[in-house]
Amino acid sequence: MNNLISFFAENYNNVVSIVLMMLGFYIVIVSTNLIKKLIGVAIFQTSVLLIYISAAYVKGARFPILQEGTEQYINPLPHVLMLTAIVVGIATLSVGLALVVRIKESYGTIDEDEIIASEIQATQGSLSDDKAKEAALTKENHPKKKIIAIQYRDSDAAEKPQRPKKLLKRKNTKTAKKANASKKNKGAA
Amino acid sequence: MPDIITQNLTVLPIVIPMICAAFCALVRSHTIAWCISTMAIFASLALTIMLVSHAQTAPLELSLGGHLPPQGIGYKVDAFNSVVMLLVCTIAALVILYARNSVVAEISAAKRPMFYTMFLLCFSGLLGITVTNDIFNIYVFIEISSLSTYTLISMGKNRRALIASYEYLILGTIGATFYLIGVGFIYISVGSLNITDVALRLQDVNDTTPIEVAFIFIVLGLCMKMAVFPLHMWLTESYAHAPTIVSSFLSATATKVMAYVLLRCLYTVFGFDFSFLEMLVADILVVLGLIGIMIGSLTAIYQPNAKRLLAFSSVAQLGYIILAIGIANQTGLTAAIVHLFNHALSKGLLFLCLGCIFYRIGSARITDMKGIAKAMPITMTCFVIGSLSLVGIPGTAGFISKWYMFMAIIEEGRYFVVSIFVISSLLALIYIWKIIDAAFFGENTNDLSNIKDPPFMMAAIIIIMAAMNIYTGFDTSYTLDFAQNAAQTLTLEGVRE
Repeated sequence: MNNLISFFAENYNNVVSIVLMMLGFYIVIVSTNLIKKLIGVAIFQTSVLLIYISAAYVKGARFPILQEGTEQYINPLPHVLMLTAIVVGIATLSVGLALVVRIKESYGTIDEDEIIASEIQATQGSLSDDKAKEAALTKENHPKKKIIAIQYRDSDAAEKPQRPKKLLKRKNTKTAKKANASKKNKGAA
Repeated sequence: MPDIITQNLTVLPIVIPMICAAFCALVRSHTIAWCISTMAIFASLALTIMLVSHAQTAPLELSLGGHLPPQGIGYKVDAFNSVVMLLVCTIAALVILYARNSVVAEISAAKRPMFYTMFLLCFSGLLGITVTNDIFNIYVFIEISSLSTYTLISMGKNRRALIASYEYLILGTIGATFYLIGVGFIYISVGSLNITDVALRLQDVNDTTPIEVAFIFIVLGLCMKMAVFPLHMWLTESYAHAPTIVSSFLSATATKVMAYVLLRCLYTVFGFDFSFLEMLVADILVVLGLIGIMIGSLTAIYQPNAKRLLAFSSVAQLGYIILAIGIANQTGLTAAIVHLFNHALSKGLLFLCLGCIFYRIGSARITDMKGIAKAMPITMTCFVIGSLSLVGIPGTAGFISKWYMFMAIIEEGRYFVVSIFVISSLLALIYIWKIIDAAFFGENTNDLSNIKDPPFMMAAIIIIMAAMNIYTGFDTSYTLDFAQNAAQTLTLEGVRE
């Protein structure tokens, strides 16, 4: 037990990065929210940065600028590499978020399960396209459906005359206003 | 030839498209963007052809910015990666000529200049992966090509392209990050990133745990990017929904370049003894390859969408490459490299033919292709040639690589593998026959009178590719000699004293 504790205490930097990595991985696998998945990927990538950075650390060493009196320098290369990796991570995250925006626009949701459900519905629709057409044909001939259809038509017919009237009224008012305005202008002239 | 070109011959093919990509992003006209990208890709092609002739004898090296390796980033072109560069450039040049008409049909007007920008970035990223001699630089170029690939895939017309692109982004990033972890362990152990230098220094620390962990991470990450069997789900979805030009370009180049990186890591970085005798990667690759071949071919048979069918066929063909790498003798290695070439030719041709069909009938479903062979004779003839090459009929490109794989397996005496090899070729015949059967013998109820062969440029490209498929089937002096030369350099680098 003591050994284990001392092992964790001595290698806490690596332990932290492994825990972060597994957390990120877990989020990617378990979460159904597309944005949460991207956050998982970002955490996963960040844990790798920690591995590099902690490997570059030397206790008591100074930053790599020539100075009198310093004997040990920290290797700057891992930091530079990780700057590149950070840029890559940001680019990946932003492309991913842009994709999620587009997905939200076209599917109306960012939940993976709902997207899959809607896709399954869509594919079933397209697979049984011919059957659906046949079914639609028979449905139209079905007597009960005919009645419903007629009812709908009636209700449509009942509503339709109202709309054009309103439009006509509006148009009338507009044209009247215009006419008035032109008259006024003429009067002013 | 000016000095500045000969001195920077290795880096120019990557830099030119990268700069031209920025210009493409500024342009609004489709034609100008197309002209810029065509010129950039043909310039890269010309430079690469010069590189290939130089690199066959001795490797060309360049240290970027005058910083000498192992500190600076070195670019190195030898007999192996010059051939992969030539492959990427050739396919890109053919696809960009084809894209002129195809882009108009498949991508909305506002996105077209951006499409060319992303295409050029992806192209230069793939070239960068092949040419660099620095394992971290490979990671950066992998991400450049992948990020542009995600955007290219999401430009598909169907909204499922977005989901496919998202899935690829998640899996691709995890794969690349695995590779980065592996590179980190190597760097921590040996303190260098230059491949030549790492190979030298790894000999002293070969049997330590960090190197073994690094090996596992790198191979796993690359297998993910390469779509080896259990990690292939992103490939089928994204190829099925991406624009056809993108599918054909990616299927012909992206996975092949990853196969190159895998070979480079197995042989040059870690060395043959460590990879194949100590870590026993060969058996794993053979098993994964065989399962991938069978599952890919069997699933392809049941696909109603021709694009997804070809995508599953790609999984199977990548299985062949993995299998040939796993056989791990000189003939197997040669076969793997030849198959990189030949599969790129045949699958590229098939996807481009599908693109022509899509251009005319606006669908990639097999049921919609009934009877179109009479309306589009040139396209379907090229499609048949591509299919023959994919199946491996003598006289086509596919036969050469399959024959060499066959020889390699016989050399090792693995007769079980041979039997699966033969069965899978028959399966390939079945799934490709589904499309040919529909196109030649199906009867379409719709009116086909206004459907004809595609515009001149598209037709010319598929005819050229079909001709290349047949030519490389008869005259193997280019592909096979290059591959043998490449395999020799790799095995020479792989053997450590």
